[in-house]
Amino acid sequence: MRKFSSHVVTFLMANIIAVAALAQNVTISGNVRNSTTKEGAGAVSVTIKGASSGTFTDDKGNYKFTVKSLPVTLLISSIGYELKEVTVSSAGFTQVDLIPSAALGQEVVVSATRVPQKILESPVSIERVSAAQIRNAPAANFYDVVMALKGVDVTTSSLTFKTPTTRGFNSSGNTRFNQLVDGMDNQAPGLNFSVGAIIGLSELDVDNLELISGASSALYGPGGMNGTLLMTSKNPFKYQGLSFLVKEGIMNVGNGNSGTPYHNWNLRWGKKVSEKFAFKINAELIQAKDWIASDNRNYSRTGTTGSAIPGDRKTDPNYDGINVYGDETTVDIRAFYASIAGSLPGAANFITANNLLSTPQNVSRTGYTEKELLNPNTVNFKLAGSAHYKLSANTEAVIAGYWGTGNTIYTGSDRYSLKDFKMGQYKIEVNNKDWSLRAYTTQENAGESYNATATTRLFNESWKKSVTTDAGGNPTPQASDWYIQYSFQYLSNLMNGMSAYDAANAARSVADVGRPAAGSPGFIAAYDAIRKKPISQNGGLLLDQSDLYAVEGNYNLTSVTKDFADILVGVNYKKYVLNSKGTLFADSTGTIGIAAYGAYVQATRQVTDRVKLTASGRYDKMENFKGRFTPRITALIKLKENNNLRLSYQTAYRFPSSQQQYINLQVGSTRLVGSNPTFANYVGYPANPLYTFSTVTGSSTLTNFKTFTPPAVKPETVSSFELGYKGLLMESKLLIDVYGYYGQYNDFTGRVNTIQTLTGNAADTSNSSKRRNISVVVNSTDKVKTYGFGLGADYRLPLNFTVGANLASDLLKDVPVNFVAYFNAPKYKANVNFGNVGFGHQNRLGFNVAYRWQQGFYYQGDFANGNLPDVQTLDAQVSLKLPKTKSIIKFGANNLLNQYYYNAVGNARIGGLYYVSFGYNVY
Amino acid sequence: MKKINNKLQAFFVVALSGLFLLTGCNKDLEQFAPIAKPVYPSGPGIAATIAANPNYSFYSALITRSGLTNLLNDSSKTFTLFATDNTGMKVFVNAASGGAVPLNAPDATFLGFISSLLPAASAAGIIQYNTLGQKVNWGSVGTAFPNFPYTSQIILDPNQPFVRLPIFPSRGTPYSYVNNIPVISTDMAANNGIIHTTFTIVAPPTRLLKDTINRTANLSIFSAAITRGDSGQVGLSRFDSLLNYGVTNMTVLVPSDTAFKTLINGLSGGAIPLGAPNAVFIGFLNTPAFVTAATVRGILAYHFLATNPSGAAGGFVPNIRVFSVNIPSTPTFVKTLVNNGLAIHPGILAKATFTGPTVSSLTFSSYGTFPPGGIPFSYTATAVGIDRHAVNGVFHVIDKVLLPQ
Repeated sequence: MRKFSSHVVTFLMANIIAVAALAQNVTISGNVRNSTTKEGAGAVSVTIKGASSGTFTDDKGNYKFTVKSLPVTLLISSIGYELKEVTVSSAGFTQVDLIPSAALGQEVVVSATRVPQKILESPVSIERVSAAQIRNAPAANFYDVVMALKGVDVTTSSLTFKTPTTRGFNSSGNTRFNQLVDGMDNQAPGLNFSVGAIIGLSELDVDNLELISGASSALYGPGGMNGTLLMTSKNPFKYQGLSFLVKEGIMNVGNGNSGTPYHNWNLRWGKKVSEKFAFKINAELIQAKDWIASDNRNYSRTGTTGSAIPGDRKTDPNYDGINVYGDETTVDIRAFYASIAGSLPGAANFITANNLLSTPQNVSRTGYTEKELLNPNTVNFKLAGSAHYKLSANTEAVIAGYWGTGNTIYTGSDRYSLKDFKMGQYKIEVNNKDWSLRAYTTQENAGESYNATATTRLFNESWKKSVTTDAGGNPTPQASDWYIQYSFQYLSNLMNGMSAYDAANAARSVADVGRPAAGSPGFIAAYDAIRKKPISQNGGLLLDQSDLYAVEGNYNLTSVTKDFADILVGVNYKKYVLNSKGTLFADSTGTIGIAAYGAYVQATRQVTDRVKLTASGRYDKMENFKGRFTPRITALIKLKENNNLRLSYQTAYRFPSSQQQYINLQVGSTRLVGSNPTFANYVGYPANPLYTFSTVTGSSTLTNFKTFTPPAVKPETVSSFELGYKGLLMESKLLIDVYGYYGQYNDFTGRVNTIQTLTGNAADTSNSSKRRNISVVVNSTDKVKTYGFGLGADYRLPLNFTVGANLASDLLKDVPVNFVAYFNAPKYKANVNFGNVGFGHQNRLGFNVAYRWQQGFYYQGDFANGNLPDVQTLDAQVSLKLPKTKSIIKFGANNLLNQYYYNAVGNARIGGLYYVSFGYNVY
Repeated sequence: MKKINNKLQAFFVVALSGLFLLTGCNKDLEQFAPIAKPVYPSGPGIAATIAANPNYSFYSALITRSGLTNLLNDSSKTFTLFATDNTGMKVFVNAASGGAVPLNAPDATFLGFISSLLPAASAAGIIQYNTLGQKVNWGSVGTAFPNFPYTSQIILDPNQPFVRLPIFPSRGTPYSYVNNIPVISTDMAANNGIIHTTFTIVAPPTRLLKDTINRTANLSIFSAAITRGDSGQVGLSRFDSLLNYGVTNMTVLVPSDTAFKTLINGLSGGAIPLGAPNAVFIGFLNTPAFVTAATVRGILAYHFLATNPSGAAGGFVPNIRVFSVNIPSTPTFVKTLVNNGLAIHPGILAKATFTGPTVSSLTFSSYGTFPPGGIPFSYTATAVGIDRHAVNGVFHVIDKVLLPQ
């Protein structure tokens, strides 16, 4: 073993220092420009043919480096241009004009197999977005470009909180879709949502986005059940110079709004100090008035499920608006009437005659709308920087940091205002052409983030108690209590001859005396006091400061094993440190650590000239769970040049998220608890059993109670088969990509609502005042199956015109009755785009029009469920390049026709966003 | 190839043009038909219905005097009104004026009294007492003993506005009543409720039982007995507290001073003559050597009618208001507070004798007799004053002290 180790060290050192010894003594320089516009072409690769040395052009198209001797042949290449060979025979300046190329399918992707390959030869479905595509897209934010990719669904919680996924199961905080930023898992360790749009890359620093659709754990570890999005930043050795991009826009137009400004400022500075050292700094600021959720329809809740129902604040005393908070507090006031009836015979007869005892008389507190509560000011500031040092020609060390803060709104089981949320990701890595070693940490700080629902309920309690209780939690109603005032006044109003409708509303007016007006100084002071108080102290504040520490390494053994197969191996170790001080997790007595490790191996072999097989396998182990092995087998069959058939069997799995393991959070009337076995003691079952139940149709009455002991929770897994084709047709002007898949989920992880009596007496299950709701994590024993397809076509028209279209379908099969799968994918969705990257005088003009349609579907979320109608949006942009100043002006619109739409129930309605941007040195 | 490209271009231009047309129709989320708000009926309300009927012109004037016309015409509310016709109003005015307005006075005199001399607050009190905040068809009024309490519009406790002065309709054959006033016609419809007509005004009580008893002549020894029986008791265990507690609903049989004197004269073996001052009889009651407080308390408990709504042992409470007209003509046992100490006690045997709708005789027989040893329920007290109505109950003055055993 020691001998083997010494060989490895020797091998690594050789890689690092070998090239440093090369003699370099002739300096050559030149400039590369676009043959049409004559503008300098930055980030163009200039390498010596037959050697690995070379450089990139700077932002003006200039290059300069030394060679051993002359003449040399330079290979000058860049995506979007035809490859050019230039022979340099003497030291001096060389002007090179590159001819723009309209060739399709030339992109190189890395994520499909962790080694670079042409996208046409990827053995699994993959989509790629280049910086050029982002530049030409009509989307106001690079993250929105993902929405237009084939088979992608996005849930929009707010302007800057968007969650993409593929092949179903989307939600506001999707834990089945990995997002990696420069190799780092971008998921907030405690809150469990990926924050790619909030904290991560800034738009000017995005080199490319790669999206793997479907199961992808075999290479990227747990979590990639539905896909993995890899975001890669620009290397400062390649992308140099100062760039900035200023977008000014307007949103919240129409639909009763008068328009609010949108600001998005980007700055990037990349500097190659020497052939060995480069650095970059990025900053991005977004400031706007966010979309505010205003779905005030009445909602009937049972635990974390429910449905919209008729009624409003006036017509339903128990009204619970979806985006109205504080009205989740509900009490059956029959107990008060029973007490009155027992002491006042006259009233008793009246109470009986008005059926005030025979049926539930649930009444909710008066809530406040989201618009009244949440500050719509969204601020998102990202700051990132990295230093790159070339240890050798093939080895580069990187130290990088990505930090962001912002205000945004997130939908979980409740609506959360993420206020002054901060997250930093810091890494140090060494990349060699054959191996990489990376250590990184994610540091999360929830700032002043708070649960808007819980805060508002507590706020209501602060200005008037619902029902006073003693130290033991037993009701001791007082005349000053809201429900006493309401129920007394309601009864009195009925006795006054009022209709139930008038009596209820008049009683509410009486009980609401003293209710602070939204936005008043008194309201703000009282509300702020509660939202700043930790949840564990009867406030709404999340104190989450959870962290992730990770180390991982990869080694490409191909140079040693190429006679047999191309072999890639990797290992990783992760340590989550949950730290919410009892406001989210059961960690009031100290942090909770969760360790996980894994390893993978991948072998690729060109079996015949036409068939390439790849087999991958990964083993992962997480504390508290048994280890998991996830294999992947792919085959790429070359039908002809640039036409490939792909077949794959992929598996993925997901350990329960840190929240699913350790959450301890009251949401509305329900306590969410984690799956960790210690919760059995905390909750007190099976000594005091939990009961499952059914809901009587059309009422909130519970029935059919059955004792329930939550079994141990296992990781959920998915197995997926996929068949696809990608190829170039019609003289390489038409790119076709087609796939079909079938997947099966086992041990699907979800929640089940249970109740537990406060007394331990089974008879009290029917008594709402003597029971509590407990939501526990369970695996479904049913196998959930999904299948679907996608097809896309891109066509290059003359004169730089392009047109593309894609259609995708995702379906859920064999869904058991009453099973809540949270599939959340339209059966069909389609995108069409039409554009031109250069026409008119010197090809300075460009435009892009993108249309998206998705079929309506039934959305299921912990916060709210309901039917979503079809959505159609039209995005467009027109741009003008100004070569002399290396700048570009763009007029763009997201949702050009301002047709407001929802893509999740309980989230904001999204309208048009219109902007004009000025970009300098954007490439 | 060029042709193909041109065709494709044309196709996509047309297709994109179509997209603009398609994108104009994102629908809102699923909306539900709103829950219907109540639609209130149109047409004459209760006050208007009364005003339109010439037989009720005096009562209409009473409504006007009360200032509650608009309330009774409010179509968003529902009421039941116990009104009386002009004949009944004459009876009322005659009584309210102390006979100053004779029954045969011109109508204008009655109207003048109602509109000017009757205090507006009194008129309002009557109308509020005569009004229920619900529609009660007469056929739905209960027939059970003793009656069916309803809540009027008179609020007894502003802090608990559902604590109302009750009114007691009772449906029977051939006669029905509101409290002790006969009902002469029923179910006159109005758009916002219904009107039942009583023989005369059903006037609201204004004083509590304690005050009313204290203000009634010839009942001072009963009050003294209350004081004696309450010694050592607290809260609502004290009879005095019960009689002074506004939200109880009691029936008390109050022996007259003569009744107490007769009993004490007998108990003292004639040592205390019937003609002795009241203080002597009260002194006897307060002397433990003669009679203990517990004995007095037990005797008094036998004069408070009670029921046991909970069915629990010791659950008898004084919660019924029995007007004379509610007592059946056939002897009927009624429980008392004595049943809290002796659950199997048969109670008091009550009997009313009717002449038409009016009670001409009301008797109560006790288990015990005086002198002791007689046949149970052979010892009968006769009511010498009936239906003395108070806020928290009614009492009947009887000529004997009833003995539980």
